[in-house]
Amino acid sequence: MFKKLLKLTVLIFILICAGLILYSWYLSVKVEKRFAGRRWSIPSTVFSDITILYPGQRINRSLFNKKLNSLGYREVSHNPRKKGEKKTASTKVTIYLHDLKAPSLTRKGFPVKIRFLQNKIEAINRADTGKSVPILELEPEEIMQFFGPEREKRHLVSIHQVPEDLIHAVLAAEDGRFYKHHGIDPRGILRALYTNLRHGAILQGGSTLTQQLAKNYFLTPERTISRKINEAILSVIIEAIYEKDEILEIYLNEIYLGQKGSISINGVGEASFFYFDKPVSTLSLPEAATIAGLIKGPNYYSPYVGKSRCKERRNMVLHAMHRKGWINNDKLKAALSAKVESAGFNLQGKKAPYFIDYLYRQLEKLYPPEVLNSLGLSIYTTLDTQVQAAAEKALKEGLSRLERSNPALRRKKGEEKLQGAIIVMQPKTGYILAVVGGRNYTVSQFNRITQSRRQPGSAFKPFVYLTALNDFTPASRLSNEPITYMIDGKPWEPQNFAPSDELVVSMRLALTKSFNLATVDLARKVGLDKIIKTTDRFLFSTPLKPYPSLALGAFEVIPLELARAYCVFAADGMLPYPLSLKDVTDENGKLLKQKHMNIERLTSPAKAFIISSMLRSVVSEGTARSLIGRGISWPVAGKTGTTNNFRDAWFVGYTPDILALVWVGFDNQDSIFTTGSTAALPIWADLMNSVPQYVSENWYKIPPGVVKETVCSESGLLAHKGCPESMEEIFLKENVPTVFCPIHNKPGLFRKIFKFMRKDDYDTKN
Amino acid sequence: MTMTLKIKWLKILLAVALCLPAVGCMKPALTPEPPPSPESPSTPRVLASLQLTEQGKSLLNKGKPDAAIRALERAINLNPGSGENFYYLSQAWLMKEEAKQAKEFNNLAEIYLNEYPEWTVRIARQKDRIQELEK
Repeated sequence: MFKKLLKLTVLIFILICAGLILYSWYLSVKVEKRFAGRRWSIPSTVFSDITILYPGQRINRSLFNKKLNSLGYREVSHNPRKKGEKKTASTKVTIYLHDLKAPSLTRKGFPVKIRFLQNKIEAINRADTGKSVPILELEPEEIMQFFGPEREKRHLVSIHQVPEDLIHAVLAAEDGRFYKHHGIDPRGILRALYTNLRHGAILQGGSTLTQQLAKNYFLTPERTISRKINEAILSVIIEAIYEKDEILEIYLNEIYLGQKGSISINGVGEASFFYFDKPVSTLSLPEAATIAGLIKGPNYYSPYVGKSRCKERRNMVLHAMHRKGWINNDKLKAALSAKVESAGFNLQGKKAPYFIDYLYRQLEKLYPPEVLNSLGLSIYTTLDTQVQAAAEKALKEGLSRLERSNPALRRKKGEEKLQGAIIVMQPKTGYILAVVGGRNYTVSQFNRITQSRRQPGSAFKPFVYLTALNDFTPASRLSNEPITYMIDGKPWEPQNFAPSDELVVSMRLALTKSFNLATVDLARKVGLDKIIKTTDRFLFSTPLKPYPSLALGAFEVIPLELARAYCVFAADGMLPYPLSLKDVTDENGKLLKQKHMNIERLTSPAKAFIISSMLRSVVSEGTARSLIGRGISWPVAGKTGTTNNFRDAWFVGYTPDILALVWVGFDNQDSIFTTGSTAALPIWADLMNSVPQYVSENWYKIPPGVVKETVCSESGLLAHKGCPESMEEIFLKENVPTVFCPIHNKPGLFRKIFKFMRKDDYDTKN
Repeated sequence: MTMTLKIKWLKILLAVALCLPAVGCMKPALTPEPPPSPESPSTPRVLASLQLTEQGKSLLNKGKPDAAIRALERAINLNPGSGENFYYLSQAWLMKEEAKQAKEFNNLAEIYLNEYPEWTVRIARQKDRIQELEK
């Protein structure tokens, strides 16, 4: 009997051992698989463009200060001594710049003093040497990160980057016998048991770093016996497979160390930046002890929650380090007396959400979501956060202003409210500086710049006039008389927005005043097929039909396409590719993708110049002349647009430096009861007044192929002495009038011959 | 001074006077240095843009066309009317063997620099190189 029992016991024991071995083998495979592959998901980060500053630059001080704050520069009362500090006074700001790391551009941080004179940068000098800085690049701003479901932020570091003080601090705080045990520390368990029994409370845990790693990496956090057993087995397996330093490195990168909003701060690398705004390798002893002290309760001991509690915990770690012999008396004394100084952080709402959505649609064609969420890519864009902020503010305030002025525009439900959209571009390069796709992203993520299709109305007219330039000139006469057209057997009677006595107008005046009748007359004379052919080249995605109403913009466009098309006038006839994504690098900084400006000639510089000249008249004398009263005193070309029943209000305005399109309307096509010049134009003006760094007050140089001539104001033909009123007008070289005005007394024979023999272009001053 | 000596000195002076225009007309030795920038740095924007143009040129000399394009794009954003930036952009795209973009930028350079003969020559030479690439 006894023998049978013994045999059974031995058999059971053997079975348990075999089971244990098999289970351990299974766990070891799991451990190897987990640690062999990519150990962590690192979110990809989207960055804005760099910001360029130079002496003499106009600047919006308020937006600039916000920019510095967004870049993580914190205000100090002393002269900045460390990277990331700034000291602001009324006429200057001293900044200790962060290092700049961007594709094709790296720069070490240094202290710089920027002096202001009213709204201009007067001088930029190095604060250490006094040397003048002719051009300063501020680092790209972090806009957002693509997190996986775990939403962990982590900056990976190797064990060699971690200072010895931090390693000792962590070991002293959590596992002083790390290099002596083999995954489980029975002495540590007993010591913790003794301490806890002695104090009648759970003061110490007996878990080793390896056990903590096993728990965090493989197991769920519930406290059960089975989990504890698994944790113990895993710890032994990890210690058997990996070296101590490797285990420590994984631990230091894994450990949870705090919370920033909904994002968890993991690993000492990220914690170092989060708490002290510095790389881990530069941590001081007190800072290292602070971070080590956080492991036990990051949100309890955080310096952002309670500095005294944080200091107490830090000092306990320092004492533990001293007891272990890792720091001497002097170091201990100095560290104990150090203040707890943290960097501070800003919890910001989603930045440029519509721009990010637009960018994301491009990124997902290149990289699947699991790559974006985990491989730690850096994505550099064209976004200018100051312009973005200015655009968002201008739109918000502009729409509120409209609602206040007209109660009929007010809506209770958020999704039914008056809407608007803005896109800002640099026309020569195609850089997209800002996208505001709607009034409130939280209410509606629908991007009215890239996704909506709305009728442009009169904002389309420049494309009709461009088509006409082959055969017509700005001085050509057009009929502004009401005419009834028969379209598919039905009468169509276009009307001017306001009645006009002028039955015959010049092409320039027709565009300046946005006369519908004259524009339709022009379109008829040019040929609708030719206009459609022109718009095809501008890559409008909506197929157009050859109806006369096409000339008045009675078809739909995507606002992004319209803005891009206007860039042709602003950029010497070149159509730019609208660029938002510039570079993508991997987590090591290796360039994976690069996009440059891309241009294509669509029309001649001469034609583009003539259209810009006519659109400048729109601003100086036409439907956009109210811009002057809104502080826009520099040369601007632009076009207002208003559709039938006032469903859409547009203003597209540009200079050689910047182009912005503003649209206002209701998503459900309700009327806004007002025009582009009343609804959209003021928003454009507010935006431009907020970004003085983009205002050079320059205008276009007259290109070859453009001729200036004096013509009769009445006939549009060459002026002579008999013409009571004449004006200077510009023409394509091939379309210069050669006939004298027949309405007034004719010139003499000699003058005719003289004019006929003149063949050369001549430039005149603007 | 005797008459003969006076005449002799007059001849020397005359010879020197005649030579001066000839010296002035002598073609300068050909150097690889680019012609002077047509931009008069009269505005802070232009001055800042020139800094970036120089960055772009330096990067081209180092054989880094992509980095050069970046710098030159920034230069254009600051000073869209600079023909020099378009010229160097064309050069960068030529270095990348992309004839289409090289051609577009060279054409733009031609428009902006048509008043400067030294640049016109360089642009014409660049046009030839682009045409070679297109073949």
